[in-house]
Amino acid sequence: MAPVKFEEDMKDKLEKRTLQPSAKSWNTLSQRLDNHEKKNTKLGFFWLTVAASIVGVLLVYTVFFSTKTNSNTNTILVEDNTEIDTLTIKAPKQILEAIKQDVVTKTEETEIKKQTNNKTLKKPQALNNVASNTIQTVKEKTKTVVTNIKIKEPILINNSSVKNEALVANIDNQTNSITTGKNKNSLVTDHEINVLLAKATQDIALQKTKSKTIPLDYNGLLIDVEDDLNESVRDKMLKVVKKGYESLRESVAERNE
Amino acid sequence: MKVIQLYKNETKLIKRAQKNNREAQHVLYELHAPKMLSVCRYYIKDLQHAEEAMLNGFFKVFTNIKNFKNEGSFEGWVRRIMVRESISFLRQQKNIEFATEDVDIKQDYSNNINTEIEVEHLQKLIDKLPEGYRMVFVMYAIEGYKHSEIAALLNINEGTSKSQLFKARKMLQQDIKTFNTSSYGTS
Repeated sequence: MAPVKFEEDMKDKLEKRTLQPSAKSWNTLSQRLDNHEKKNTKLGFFWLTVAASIVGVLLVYTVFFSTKTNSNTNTILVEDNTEIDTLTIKAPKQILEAIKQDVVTKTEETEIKKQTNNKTLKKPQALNNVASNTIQTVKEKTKTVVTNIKIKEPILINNSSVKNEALVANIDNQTNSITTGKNKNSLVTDHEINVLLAKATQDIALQKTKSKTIPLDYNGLLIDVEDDLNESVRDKMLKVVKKGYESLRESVAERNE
Repeated sequence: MKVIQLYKNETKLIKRAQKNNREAQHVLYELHAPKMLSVCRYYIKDLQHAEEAMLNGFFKVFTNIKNFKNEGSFEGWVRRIMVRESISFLRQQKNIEFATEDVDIKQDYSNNINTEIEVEHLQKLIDKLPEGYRMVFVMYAIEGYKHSEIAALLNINEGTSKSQLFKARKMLQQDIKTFNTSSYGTS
């Protein structure tokens, strides 16, 4: 649509026209602009605070997360420690109980021997039979104790270190010596008993300290277990791949035939 | 005016205004406000409302002046903002209605109209037009927008824009004729 003449005239006239705005107009505009700037700065500050808080939260989260993982590993270690401690504690307890029983039997034996000796001094032949009977019963008792210890031996081996074996062997030797002594009808003095007891207590104490001071590498154990698991998974995967490959090869061979 | 003399170079002024220099912004306002108020007055009948629209427009100009990259004329950029602001002002004031009657746009109209009328009278004649007619007429005949642009700005069809312009022209011709006859009659 072509522009019309009167429109062009109108345009020219209107284009030339200017209207002066009111005197206050600029003040109102500048005020509005100032307020806008203030708002912008406030908004900027607000967004800054928001950003800072987000960063803070992220930092706290990362720190918390890292500490959480650490605490988790610690708890696992603590659990392991407790288990191992209980194991290590259980083993000496068992030994202690066995030794206690052994010592009790020994003391009983010595008491019986003393009594028999006294009796032999007083009535040598009449009570010899009785004494021999009691010694036999004591022997049986000691045997049962020894067997008890021998039965407990595998458990101890499983739970504690190999050094327990030596202790048990030592105890066996001691009991054997006692029994052999009995067989020989030799007299055991209080001093010997005390020495034996002292030795036994020393051995127990040593064993205790050794069992406590045995350095256990929990992380190493865990890593070993994990490695074993990984290997097993790897092996399984390899087996599956091998099987698949073999079956594929067979099928291809059959097809070619 | 002394301040204007100090800042003759408009690009320097714009650069300063972009750095939120209030003095430079004031100078730019003083330079362009009279023309822009006139532009807003094309669309808005009331001068105070037109000034309000113009202030809104300048507020947008100065808050978005960083986006102006000296590629076109600053006056043209400001003017476009003023037109948009005037339209949105009218939209806020009331619902603008556009008559959607089918009109034969090719209908001829008289070209021999005495336009020896003062600007004030011309503005009055434009003010008499309904909102829709006025906006389309001013945008097309005075601002030089195309029908497609008008349609996009006013959210109407191009056909509606054309029909609005046709009706506005017809109405204006009639009004000018009556104005001329009455003025001749009086003189």
